[in-house]
Formats: sequence, structure tokens, C-alpha cells
Amino acid sequence: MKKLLILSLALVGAYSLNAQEYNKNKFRQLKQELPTPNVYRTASGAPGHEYYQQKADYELDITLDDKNQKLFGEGTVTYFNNSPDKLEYLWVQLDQNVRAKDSDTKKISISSVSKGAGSWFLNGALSDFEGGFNIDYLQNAEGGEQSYIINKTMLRINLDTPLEPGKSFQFKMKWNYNINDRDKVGGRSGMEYFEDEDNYLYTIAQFYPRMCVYNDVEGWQNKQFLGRGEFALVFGDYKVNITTPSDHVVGSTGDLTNVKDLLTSAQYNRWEKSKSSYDNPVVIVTQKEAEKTEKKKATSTKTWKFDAKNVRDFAFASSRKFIWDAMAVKQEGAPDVMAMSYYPKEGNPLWEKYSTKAVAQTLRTYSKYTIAYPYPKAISVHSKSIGMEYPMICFNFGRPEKDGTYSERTKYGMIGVIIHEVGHNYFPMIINSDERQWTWMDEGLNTFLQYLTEQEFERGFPSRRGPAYKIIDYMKGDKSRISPIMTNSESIFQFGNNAYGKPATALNILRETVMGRELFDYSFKMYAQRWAFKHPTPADFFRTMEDASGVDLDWFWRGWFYTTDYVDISIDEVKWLQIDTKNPDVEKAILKKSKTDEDESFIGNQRNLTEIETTYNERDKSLNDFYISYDEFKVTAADKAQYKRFMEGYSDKQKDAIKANYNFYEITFTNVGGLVMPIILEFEYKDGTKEKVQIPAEIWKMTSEGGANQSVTKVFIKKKEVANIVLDPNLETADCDLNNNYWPNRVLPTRFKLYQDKKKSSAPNPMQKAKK
Amino acid sequence: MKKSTLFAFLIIAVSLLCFSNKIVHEYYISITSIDYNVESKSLEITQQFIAHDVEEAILKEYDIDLHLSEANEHPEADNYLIKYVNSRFKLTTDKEIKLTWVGKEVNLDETLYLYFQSNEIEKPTSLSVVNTCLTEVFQAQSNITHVNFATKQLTQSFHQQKKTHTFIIK
Repeated sequence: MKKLLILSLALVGAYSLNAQEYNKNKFRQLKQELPTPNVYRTASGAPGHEYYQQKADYELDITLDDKNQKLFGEGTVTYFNNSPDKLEYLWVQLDQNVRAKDSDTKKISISSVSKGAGSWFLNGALSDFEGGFNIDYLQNAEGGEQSYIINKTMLRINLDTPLEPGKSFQFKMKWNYNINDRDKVGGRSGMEYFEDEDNYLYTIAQFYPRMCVYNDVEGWQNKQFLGRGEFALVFGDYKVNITTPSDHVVGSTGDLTNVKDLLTSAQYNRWEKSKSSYDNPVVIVTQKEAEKTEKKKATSTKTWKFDAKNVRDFAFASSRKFIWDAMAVKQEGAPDVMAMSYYPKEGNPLWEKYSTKAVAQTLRTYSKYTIAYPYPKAISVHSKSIGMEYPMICFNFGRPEKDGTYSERTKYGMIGVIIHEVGHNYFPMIINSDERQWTWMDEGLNTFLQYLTEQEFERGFPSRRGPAYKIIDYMKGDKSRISPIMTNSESIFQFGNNAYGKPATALNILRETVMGRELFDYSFKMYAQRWAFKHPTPADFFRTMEDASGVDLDWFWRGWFYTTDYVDISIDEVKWLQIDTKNPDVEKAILKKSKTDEDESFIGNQRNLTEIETTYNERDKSLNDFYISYDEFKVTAADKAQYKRFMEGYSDKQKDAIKANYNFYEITFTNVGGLVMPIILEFEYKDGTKEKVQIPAEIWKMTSEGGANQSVTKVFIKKKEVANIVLDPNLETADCDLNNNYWPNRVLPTRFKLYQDKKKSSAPNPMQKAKK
Repeated sequence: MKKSTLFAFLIIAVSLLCFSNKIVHEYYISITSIDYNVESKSLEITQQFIAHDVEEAILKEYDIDLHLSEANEHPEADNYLIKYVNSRFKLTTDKEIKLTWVGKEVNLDETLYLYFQSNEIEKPTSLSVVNTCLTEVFQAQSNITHVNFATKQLTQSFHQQKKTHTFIIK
């Protein structure tokens, strides 16, 4: 009994000791957070020597039933096991099942009844949409029955014998599903109904059984599709035949291999012409042609044949309303790319003017910072109120008014979304990260490059995300509804800020402030080159950025990606000192002046000067003695001798420094926000000149716990006298409270005050006004 | 029995809404700053929204498309904004504080600023806030609210599960 007690006491002791020793330093390396490097993924962030990935090829025949808004599919999937592992089963994604009536997405959504809800609420409630895949059959290659089980949005194929490494497995499937009306049911894909002319515009995706990713990190990535965490997909080759009404125009992933059978000879000639049109798009199907086509409905069908190599997914758009334009984009050391747009007349005049050119600029900027665009084309399709990306094709919003005018908001919103969605070709379509697990890996990196592209598209483009100061309101304050960036896609609070805005901002800060453009751009491009057509993880990104640049970034990843700390550094105190020259001529004069200043400024002394006409000892000189005439600040011969001895101990250089009369500024900073960041200061001197000084984040290294609520003091030696000091003068660190960034202290006006001061006379949509 | 059927409908409706998100617009955040102006003795409220989200909420609540900052901006746009915010954003000291409209700004990056002001009041020592703006439309909506006139900035985020909060101001 006694022994037991001693043992348990010992355990308690060990435990508490352990808790004390836990290292909370913000500069500690990410050894516990990052997975151990191995033969698949190296410590430098590159793919390892035994890196492998699976492959899936698809041959599909798709029929679009415009009358019933239904999709029918039939086809063969060939799955290649390149892993060193035997696979007992295969997992396939059935994403349409997210819209099945018994979907988990509906069950788990938190809801409450609000009394003010209007008619929209009932519209949604009364919708009777029957979504989800209906499977006619799933067979093995020989046409025999294949055992499988469906677990909501996932389907498991039960193999009779395990699939050996290096072998492939083939299955055939036939299926159909009802296409969702995005206006009513929502969704990344679906259709838009144009009621006044009874026409549909289809944007079709997640329409076939898609193989899950199997890899060294997740095993099978078979987390259910709940609607938010997007996709994880393997690369492969696709042959897809799409049969539509014969009056439809189809835009799709892949090369169109039977273009001659589908276009009129005039259209075919325009198509050929577009291939050498580098400045402006050539309209292949004109608005006039589209307007004529959309008035009738063809009863016959046509089949569009597409061939896509090394893509991770496949999507297409189809409508009899489509106008189609295209232009060629030159690439350095790589084949030309066709930038294209498909849009209904409702998109004009905005779409004919901007869409294809926005695609072209995206290809130029992204290729500069990553890799040359490897696919033959990039398409932007106009689809009301969504932005959604697939390989070579994306669906984008931005619709003008019916009178053909548009607001600036609509214009920049449209160009921004096109850049963003076309940009997704690089992240995650080519640099193929796992979206189901990490939204930020594609959205964050993509939003960062979107910002760079927008700024190259138009100087001062009103980018929504990217600049450091735009993330401040999100990062400061209450942490209960903020999650670190390194959070699974389904569990993120404030999706847009967390997975798009904050990582994009973090990368901007790395590029502009922490690493500098040269080191950053090389490392970022290295990451893209290393992981193009592969499956990277966060660790591969973190490690490459560090390994290629030689900058220790563990503190940065830890602070920005693993915590919800925010940036707030304050200037607490500035002490101004000058060196003691020991020269009695100088020092005694200074002392005398400060003493006299003190005496003279005291109010009593000031008043006494006039009120006391004469003092007693002024009237009666007999009261005076030695001390009355003694001047303590008078320089004596003894003072001079002492100074001489003192100066003999210094070299000429040191003597000059002492005589130069430097100003010493001892500044105390506190890290209020907890996120360690460099300290960037701007000194403005009394003569009006300015100087910028940057101190690396490592200044916080030796403070307790690496900086949280800790203070550091640093001395700055200046020849000139400083008039004022500003911390983070160019707003590059996302400092959340600027009120403590000034010496002397300044109180900044609130936004409310600024608005009151100059109430803006808003002139909405000046374009429309000009027309009237 | 009837009641529970209606409730089931509403649950479906809310879940369907989750799909209707604009994929690139998943912001769902508003920021409210409350300052006290010592000179005018009034509370100054600045609210930052995503313009599109507010337009969607008002479309659903009143069946009115505001077209903010466009030429066909609804002539009563300001009044609908006032009505919407007043029904979901409330400040109380010992009694409810009446907020008057100061103005709005719509920026090209989709941010919408609304400005309100209180009547003359003494600087409050406690302030109860109700903030349910947009939470009926977006499940993920967060309304971050800062009170800036205390010694230290006070912050609370409001959402579907947190609708009221009392700030104690020292």
C-alpha cells in the first residue's frame, strides 16, 4: 500500500515537471507538427526517390437530355496501382449524392427558425429535387457482376483478389442523375434556366464516378463530400463523347477532336483564324448566330468528342445560347495556349470585352511565377452567380444590367473571379493538393497569385484580398470563431478569411517583408516545379520555401498557419540620450542650462521675479560669503586636466565619435498580439529627411516564450535628431492596432470620423448616367 | 404534429442554402466598431459588411433588390438598410438606444460600410448588444463587434449560437 502511494506521488511529480518543461517558444522548430520525412517526401520538401502516385483513365459516353434536364452516362474506368501496396478494395467518389434526399449534408447543417424569413425560405423548403446518382449497373471488365457498396458520397469496389502493385483494374458503369437548378438547389455545377425563352445553360461537373486518391499520406482519401471541402483526385487520361441536342455548343476539358463535324465552314475558318490571333479574341460563334439558334429547339443530336491527357478531372458546359470566342497566348519555351470564353448574350457587353483577355493575363502571370501552362486551352464560361474551377474550364459570374450597362462592382467582380478560377488550373489542378483536407493549399496560394495577376491586369485593381491591411479586422479580437489555417476544410470558421484571405496575405508578407521578392519567387516557383502533376502536402510547401531560400521560416508557419495569434507590436517608450563627452566645456554648460531651465520654468520663481523686488541679501551685502559667488558649473583647471587624461585613453576614431554628438534612442517594443513579426521603423529627422529600418523577427527570439506579450529594447544611434518614429509605416505586417505605432503618440481618426469629414457623394454606375 | 412538419421543412430550406454560396465569396463576416465621442456625447457605430451578402439578405427578407451603388439602386435602399439593421442590431444601456442613420459607403472590393449614431448619452458603463445580422441567411455568419472606448478594446463575435452579449466597460 505504502509503495503504491510513493509510486503515484512519483508519477505526479514527473507529470508536473513535464508540463513545466513544455517548450512554448514561438521560434521552436516544427518537428512535432510536420510528418517525419521519408522515401516518398524528403526533408527538403521535394518528392522522395520512391514517390509514387496512382492513375485513373476514363472512357465515357455522356448524353445530355435537355428535355428532362438529365444526364446519362456509361463508360469504363481503368485504375493503375503504382503504389508498393496491395489494395483489397478501391474507393470511388459519387459527389452527386450530396444532393440525394437523405444526404448527410442536409442532416448535419445547423439551423433555426427565424420569424422574419420571407418567401425564399418556403421556395427552398418546398423544392422537391431528386438528386444523386442512379446506378444502372457496375460491372467488371468482362461484363460480370461487380461487388460494391455505397456509403453516401463514396462507393467501395470490393475486389475478389487484391490489386497487386504495378497492376490495373477495370470496371464499367452505367448511371444517370437529374441536373440541379443552381438557382433553386445551389451547387458547384448544374444549370441555369432562362424562363422568358425556355432555355437552359448547363455547367456540368462531378458527373461521373471519380476515383479517390490513394497515397502515402492519407491511404484512401475517402472523407465524405459534405459540400465544402472540395476534391482530391488522381491524374489520368480521358476520352469523353458528349451527345447533346444538335443546336448546342459545348465547351469542355480536353482537345475537341472532331471540330470539323460540328462547326459550319464559316465557324471553322474563324476557329482556325483564332489560333494565330494573339491580340484580340476571334468570335467563332457570334452573338447573331447564337440569338438565332436559341429561338428554336433542335430535335436531332450531335456528339462532341474530347480527349484530355494528364488531367485530374473533367467538366463541360453546354447550351444553345453560347457565343464562343478564342485567342492564342504565347508562352516562352512552351506551346501556345488557346484562351477561350463561352457566354450567353446576357453576358455582353462585359464578356466579349474582358473574359478571354482576363484568361490570357492569368496564364501569363501564373506561368511566370509557377510553370508554363501545360494544357492546350483555358476556358471561362459565364454562369450566373458562381465561380467554380475544373481543369481547362471554369464557370464564372458577372452579369451586366439588361440595358447593357454595368457597375464598376460588377466589372471588377467578374474580372477577379475569372482570374481566380482560371488560376485554379495551377492550384490544385496541376499542383494537385488535397482540397478535402486543406482548402488553403489551393485557395490560399491561388488567391495570392490572383492578387499579383490583378495588379498586372490594371494598376490599382481593387483586389479584395492580398494586401496585409485587409486582413486586420479578421485577425484581431475574439478568437472563439477563428481557427488556425491548418484546420481541416470542413471545420473552418469564416471560410473566406481563413482559407483564402489569411494565407494569401501571409504569402504576400513573406514576399514583400520577410523573405524579399527574389528569395520568395525562386522558392515559390521551385515548389510549383517540384509538385506539378503530383500530390503535395502542407509540409512539402513549408519545407520547400525554407530549403530553397535558406530562411528559417518555422516561426512564420507556426504563427500564421498553426495559431490564431495576430500582429500588434507597440512602441512603448522612447528614451533619447546623448553621449557623455566628459569635456567640461560641453558637459558643464549642458548641466548649467538644464538647471537654469528648470529654475526658470518653475512658476513660483517666475512670479517671484516681479513680486519680490529685492531680497534681504541683495539689500544687506554682509549676508554674502564664498558660496554666494561660487559657480558650480564653472570649468576649472582641474576639470581640464582630468578631461585630458580621459581623452588620452581613446583612439582618434573614438575621439571623433565622442565629439560627433550622436543621438541615442532606446526604444521599447511590446508584442501585444503574440504573432512574432519583424519590426519595421521609419525615423523622420528634424530636418525632414526619413530613414527606414527593418529588424528581423528574430529580435523576439530571446524573450520569454519567444515574444508573446513580451518586450524588447533596442538602441538606435542617429547623427541627426529624430522628430518622430512610425512603426510599420507601409502597412506591410497586418498590425492590428496602429494607435500604438507612433512616437510621439498619435491618435488616429476613426473611420466614422473620416466619413463624417467628407461625406462621399456616391455616383452609382456612372456609365448608365453618361448614357442618359 | 403540424408544427414539427413545418420545422422539418425549414431545416431542409436552411441546408439547401448552404449550397447556394458563391464559391469565391465565402466571407460571411461583418465588423462593427462602437466608439464613444466625448465631444458630441454620442455612440458612433461603423458597420462593415460584404455588400453582396446584405443585398441577398434584404432580397430574402423584403423581396427587394437593392442594386447598391448601381444606377438602378433602389430609391429606398437606405431605408431598407436601416430597417434591416434596426431589427437585428440593438444597443441597450439601461434602456434601448435609438440609432440614427449617418450614411453608407460601397467600395469596389464589395465592402459596404454603414454608419449610425446615437442621441446624446452619458458614456455607458455597460452596453448590451444584440447582433444577429445575416445569421438567418448564412449559417457561418460571424458578426465581430468591437467596443473601442474602454481602457482595453473589447471584442465579441456574434453568430447563430451567440446572439447577445453585455460588455462591461471600465
